[in-house]
Amino acid sequence: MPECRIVLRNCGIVDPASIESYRAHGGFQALRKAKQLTPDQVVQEVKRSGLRGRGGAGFPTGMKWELAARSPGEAHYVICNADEGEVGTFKDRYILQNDPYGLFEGIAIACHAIGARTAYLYLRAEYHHLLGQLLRALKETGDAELGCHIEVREGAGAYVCGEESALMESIEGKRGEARYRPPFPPNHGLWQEPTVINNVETLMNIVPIIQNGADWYKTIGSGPCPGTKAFSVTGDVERPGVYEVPFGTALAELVVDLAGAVNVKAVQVGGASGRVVPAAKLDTPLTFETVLGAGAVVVLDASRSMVELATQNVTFFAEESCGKCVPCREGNQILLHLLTTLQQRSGKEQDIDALRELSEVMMISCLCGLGQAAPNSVVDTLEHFGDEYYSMVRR
Amino acid sequence: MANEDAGLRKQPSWYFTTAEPHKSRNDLLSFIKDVQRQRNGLSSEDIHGIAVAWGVTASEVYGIATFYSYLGTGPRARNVVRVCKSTPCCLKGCDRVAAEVERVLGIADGGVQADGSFSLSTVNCIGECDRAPAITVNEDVYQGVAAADVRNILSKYGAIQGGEDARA
Ligand SMILES: Cc1cc2nc3c(=O)[nH]c(=O)nc-3n(C[C@H](O)[C@H](O)[C@H](O)COP(=O)(O)O)c2cc1C
Ligand code: SF4
Ligand code: FES
Repeated sequence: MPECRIVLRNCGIVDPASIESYRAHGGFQALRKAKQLTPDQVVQEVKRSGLRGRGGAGFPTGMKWELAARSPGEAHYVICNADEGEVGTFKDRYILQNDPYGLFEGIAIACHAIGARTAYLYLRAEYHHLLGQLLRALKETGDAELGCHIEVREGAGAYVCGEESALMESIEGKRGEARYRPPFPPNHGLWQEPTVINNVETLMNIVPIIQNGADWYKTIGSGPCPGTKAFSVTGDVERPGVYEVPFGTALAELVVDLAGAVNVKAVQVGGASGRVVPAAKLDTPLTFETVLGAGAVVVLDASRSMVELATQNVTFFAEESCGKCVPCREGNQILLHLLTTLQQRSGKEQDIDALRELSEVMMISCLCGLGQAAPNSVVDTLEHFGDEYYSMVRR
Repeated sequence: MANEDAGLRKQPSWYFTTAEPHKSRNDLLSFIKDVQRQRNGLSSEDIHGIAVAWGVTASEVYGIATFYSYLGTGPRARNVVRVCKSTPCCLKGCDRVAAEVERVLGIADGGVQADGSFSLSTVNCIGECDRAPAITVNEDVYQGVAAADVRNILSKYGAIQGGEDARA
């Protein structure tokens, strides 16, 4: 299956430094169209399109917007999540670099739909180099054109701030610790006001949906996952980069046909917390129900160690845990200790059992998605490559 | 300990010049960032000063400063080198790049040169792995870095002293 560019429609076509170029390619037409509709009509169109959040969880966007629009508050807010911290993802950066106006237009339509006057774009600190261009583009566009004000907020380096409630804490100028939920952001979000928070890529789908209609959108993709997904492909491939394909495309088409992987042993889909798919299952379709996350795809060839992969992933979570809850703060340290012991060939078979048991406990007892998903790669590599673990046990 | 307490009570020197435009609690994080940039670090005096200026406790400021990896207490090097160590960069040899930075600068991961010119930290994915391995120096990004490029890149930021080459 070839690439299908909806989200990346303007990348490489529109000059990201020229609003004239954006206008010449149909820019702001969808926003004008949306303004002629009532906010609720916009919400219903997005709801009917079946669009689901691209930040990892796949929550229905229209439903989120409806909840926020109907929720009473002194002000409503839209947040664009550009924290992009998942290991191996850079598709949001690619969009911010290549199509800032398209993103602003999507944000503006979201503001119209839920009755927000202010939107925040939360940019990870690592993307500070994009700030100048973004601010220039925002200034050039102007609040009058957008019908709302978009403010850029920079992070300060914390993976967990990509999690929506932690991100709101961070915009409020605090430590980025996850909140206990419920309440959820559509009811009590930023400053406890009704808030819609969406990933960059999610918001990039809004313009084409408004322009071409929900019926058109539903013809692309697969069943409960309409539309396309932008994947960031890295690792042992000839052509790393961002690829946009319809949902339901087989993993093999993405990594072998498009990115040029050879001699594949396994593919981790979804970043450090992603699922590990062995080569025998490369026909897995890419949907929220199978594997996905935010679409980081790391290809590992036959020379790579799966225990090492799991160790690197757990190291990441041990460092990025915000420390608020015990199973995550302590659990990741213990996982790491067990994995390191095995790698040093001083582990016992019981250590492998302990890895399994602790992983299960963390998945059900951690407060936020970081801790709940941290053991994923341990569980998957144990399932598909268990021999590698047992071969490391001290004899 | 006694010295630190004295430092905490001293009137922060920057207080009157930088305090005005940031008044909302929401701007505290970006304000701490600004102070760190202007003062090349955050001393306990700075932390206490910020707390007084914003009407929050010093522990709250400290809590924020220690939470985020782009903030931190203590002095900061003039040039901050970050080498990505996440899996996609690892698969493309980031270990060799990190080792070369260590060798050229004569510091280990997490270290700061004695004269405060350079610091090195290995970090998690910085979203530049379409061309791995990636490193940043201050706010500049370098992709597809080979160990052989390291010296050239770093020398753009000033004379390099203290590394193994210098000693040899
Ligand atoms: C630990 C953690 C990190 C996350 N990081 C991001 C991120 O970097 N970018 C993002 O868009 N969503 C991230 N999310 C998901 C957000 O919490 C949230 O679901 C998302 O921004 C909602 O937008 P969407 O519905 O458009 O996907 C993260 C979630 C967790 C638990
Ligand atoms: S699961 Fe981890 S990151 Fe999430 S709240 Fe608990 S300690 Fe913090
Ligand atoms: S893994 Fe190094 S930049 Fe993403």
